[in-house]
Amino acid sequence: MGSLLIKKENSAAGSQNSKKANTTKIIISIIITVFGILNIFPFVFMLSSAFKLNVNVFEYPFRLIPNPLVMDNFKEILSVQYHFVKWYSNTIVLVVITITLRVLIVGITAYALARLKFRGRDQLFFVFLLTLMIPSDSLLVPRYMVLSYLRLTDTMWSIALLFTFEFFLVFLVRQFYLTIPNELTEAAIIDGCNHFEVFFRIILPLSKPAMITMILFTFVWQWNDFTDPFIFISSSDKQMIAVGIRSFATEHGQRYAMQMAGSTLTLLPVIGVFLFVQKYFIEGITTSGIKG
Amino acid sequence: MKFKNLSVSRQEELTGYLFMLPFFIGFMIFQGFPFLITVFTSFTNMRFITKDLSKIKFVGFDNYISVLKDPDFINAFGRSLYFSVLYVVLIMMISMALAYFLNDKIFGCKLNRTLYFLPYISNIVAISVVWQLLLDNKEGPVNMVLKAIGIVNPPDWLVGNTQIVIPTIVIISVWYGLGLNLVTYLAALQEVPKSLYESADIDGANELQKFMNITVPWISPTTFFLLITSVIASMQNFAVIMSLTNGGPGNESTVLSIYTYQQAFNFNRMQMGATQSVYMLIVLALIAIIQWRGQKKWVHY
Repeated sequence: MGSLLIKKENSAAGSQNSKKANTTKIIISIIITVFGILNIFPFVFMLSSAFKLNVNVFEYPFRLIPNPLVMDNFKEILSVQYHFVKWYSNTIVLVVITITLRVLIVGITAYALARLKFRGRDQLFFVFLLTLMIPSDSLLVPRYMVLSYLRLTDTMWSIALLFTFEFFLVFLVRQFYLTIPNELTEAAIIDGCNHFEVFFRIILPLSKPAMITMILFTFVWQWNDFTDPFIFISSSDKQMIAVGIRSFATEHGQRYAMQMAGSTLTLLPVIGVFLFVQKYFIEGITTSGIKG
Repeated sequence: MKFKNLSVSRQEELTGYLFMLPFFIGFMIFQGFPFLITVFTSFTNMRFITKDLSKIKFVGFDNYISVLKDPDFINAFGRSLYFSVLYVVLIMMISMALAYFLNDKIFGCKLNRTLYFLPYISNIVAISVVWQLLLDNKEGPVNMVLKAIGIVNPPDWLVGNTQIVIPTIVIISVWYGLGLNLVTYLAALQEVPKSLYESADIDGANELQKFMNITVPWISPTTFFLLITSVIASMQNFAVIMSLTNGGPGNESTVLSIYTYQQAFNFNRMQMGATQSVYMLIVLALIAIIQWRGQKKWVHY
């Protein structure tokens, strides 16, 4: 009886307060959303300026819809005298190679770490985990030395291989494998399957979401990677898009509208993919931790 | 050898080694081996990458001593520290506050999550080109707005002195990395039992008390995890600095990663670059140890 009374009192006070609470909620919503829109202003500015005449980029006040609206910046930056198309296709090839290598290697490695008992497994796992604590920027010189001894510098293989043998995505896929019930694989083993069959027939088909997440992360990180191609690739015609857009911006410091067209083209694939498959990114991050 | 004739556990062990082999070899070559070469190089006088070992002399700890005597190294180290502290403090505070509001407190949570997450998946270099225009000290829209609201001498942002150029880069980095911390915090906040807040309501607790006494302790493991990843992220600043300022103006934004790069590739002092890398790893290890020791005091599992 007593608790009922308290509840009644509370709800009466609640309904009086709820209007006030709602107003506060609306105000906070507006503030956060305004900041959210300001937060993506760089993208808005970029997209708008990409269609402007160079002289209009800095017009004040800022005009969202360009007047006149021109396509010339895109046409010009895609012309042969700039390596833009070359950088673009180089990056696509690199991404495809890395994704293929990773699909081949990450799955079996994660399976071994998640499901197979062998001597030294836990120690190995611990060492791999430790490497996640090291920012790769502090390994630039060491990595360059190894790659140049292997004669891999100035090839896209340097980057593809560095990426493939990073532990993070193995860790992510392993975490996923741990969630697959043991009974499934044990039953198969009792029925006489070996671990190859278990992996290829049971685990791999079940791990589509993890594989998709892995492929998406690989795509986004590799597409956006600047540091590795900047250090390891020296020829302009072998270069990747992120380094390309920077060298274009430094060489043509005053051609603002074209820089913005180039930036737009650089961002388009990742942002496009992200907006379609946001779910996989966010779930990948929240279920497995992340990398900086 | 007949694989099928082996016992099940022996089969499992062999399969384990076989499955691990490709990754293990690649990992040793591309992640493990660099360590060894760096440590080796840091004790030699090797200025260029060479296979001709006859010209290489061992110099003991000479490089380690001269790095510490190098004022440019000390300055770069100081800037890195400044950068990291500023970055970690800002990103932790902003992401926690923002996640707190985005979690059930506002309308349009999903839309806002996308708005704040978007920079994280974008190309930092391409977007740096955009920031350079936005923050242009003469004609950039940011300074035009500042002038319009009556600020006569708006900051020079990316072409100013250390007091302004490093904070500017930090703010852009926080803007860029925020989405990741935000999404992780949002997931953690979902896990806090609603009943805790309800019983606090009955006890008459206000929002701040609920936040400090329920939310903060409950999500402290996530805070700890994000603290570690944010410290690591704060040192991943090579790409953003190279594309925004190239370490300049002068060397006002030459942090450790940039200076190490310059030593190894611009000044042809590979051995110094290697020694600085070793120092960086030692500092990293110290930070990791401090964090693990410190967590016991404030993380509640």
